Amino acid sequence: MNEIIALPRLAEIVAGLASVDTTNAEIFIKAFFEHIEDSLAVSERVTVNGLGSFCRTTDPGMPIRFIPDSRLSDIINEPFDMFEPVAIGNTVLDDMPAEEAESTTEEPPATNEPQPDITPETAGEPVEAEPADTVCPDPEPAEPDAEPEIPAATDNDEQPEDDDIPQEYPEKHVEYQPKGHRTLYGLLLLLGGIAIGTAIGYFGKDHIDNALADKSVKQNTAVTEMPSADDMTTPDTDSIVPENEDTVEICETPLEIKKTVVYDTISPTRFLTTMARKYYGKMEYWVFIYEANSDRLGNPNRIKPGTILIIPDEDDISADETPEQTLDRAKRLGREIYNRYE
Amino acid sequence: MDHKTFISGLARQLGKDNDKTDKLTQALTQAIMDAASSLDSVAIPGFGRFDTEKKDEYIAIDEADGQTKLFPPSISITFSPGTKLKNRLSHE
Repeated sequence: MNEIIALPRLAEIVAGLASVDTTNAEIFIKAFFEHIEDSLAVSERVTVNGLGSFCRTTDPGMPIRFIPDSRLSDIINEPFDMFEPVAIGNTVLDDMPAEEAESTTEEPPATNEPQPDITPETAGEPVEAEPADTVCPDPEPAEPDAEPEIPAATDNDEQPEDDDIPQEYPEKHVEYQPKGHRTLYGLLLLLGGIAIGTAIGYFGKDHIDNALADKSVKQNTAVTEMPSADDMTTPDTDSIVPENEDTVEICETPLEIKKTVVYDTISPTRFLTTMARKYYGKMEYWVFIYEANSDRLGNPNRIKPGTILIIPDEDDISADETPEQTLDRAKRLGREIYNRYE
Repeated sequence: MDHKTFISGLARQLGKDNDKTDKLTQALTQAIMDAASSLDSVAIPGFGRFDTEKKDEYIAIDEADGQTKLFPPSISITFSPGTKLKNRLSHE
């Protein structure tokens, strides 16, 4: 591929094809092209079946023009026979960068040049001599403004008479939409997206809030479940709130009922009085902790370390009382508790 | 000059009959065709060179129906005359 085959190599190939020796093949090749040269000196055109036509031109820089035989063009384009022009949407061109799209149209295919009308000839058929004054077509474009006629893709099969004319493809003539149109389309799409997003956000807000509220209720309910008795007597590490120390909200009716549940653990250094001082500021309030857990506690002086206790909310223990009244009530309750175990 | 006339003149020049000359011509044509199919070039000293040019697929508007189409690739064969041939034909 992309090699240059010189005369000796060509002679070898011809010798193999014609079953002659290489020397005779080389002599024949030289004579063949010399005869074309001689013929062109006396004739305007020389046609060789299967190869093409050599035509004289008036251009001194390019005095000869070669028009390949249609069979030659067909054979070398055989790998692409399965392809046909495929209609595509204009979106392909719109998506292409302008520079790329323009470069695609710069070079028309070589086979797109105006081709002369070549008399069809076949090897086995008798042929008629061409008029001696046959004139090669002007290789120059007829008129710069004139556009060559572009055959329709569907017409190719309907014109068998044109077999000798090499397969041509329409001249590339691409029209593009101005960039402003593409920009406008993009802007409209962007505005449409913003409008849809705003509508979803506005109308879907209530639904999202409800979903979040439901999720909150489920989480809070799980947190406030009471531990079993076994769990409460299990020896644990030092003290302090086992689960969420912060306020936990229970939303049986969303966001209205609040309840604080705090746990603490008895240890050798943390007694009921210690907890009462920590949570209520007065050690005498230990009785309220004791009463809240009285079903699991016995003698207040014999509580085992590791026992988990519920710490009542301060608002619950004082109710509508003044601090002095609460303190008096705590002292009275303490005496009653001790009296139970005397 | 058509093919038959050309073959007759070539046969006279070579001292062979027309059939033999035509057979050799077909072999030469076939060799050039095979080379072109392989995208190879054929150089004939003093006469010129046959080259092939492959054109990739391209997108264009078919003016026949106004549709934008993807056209398949194609291979074209070109001929570049040698200096000797150009000089001779230019002076005649």
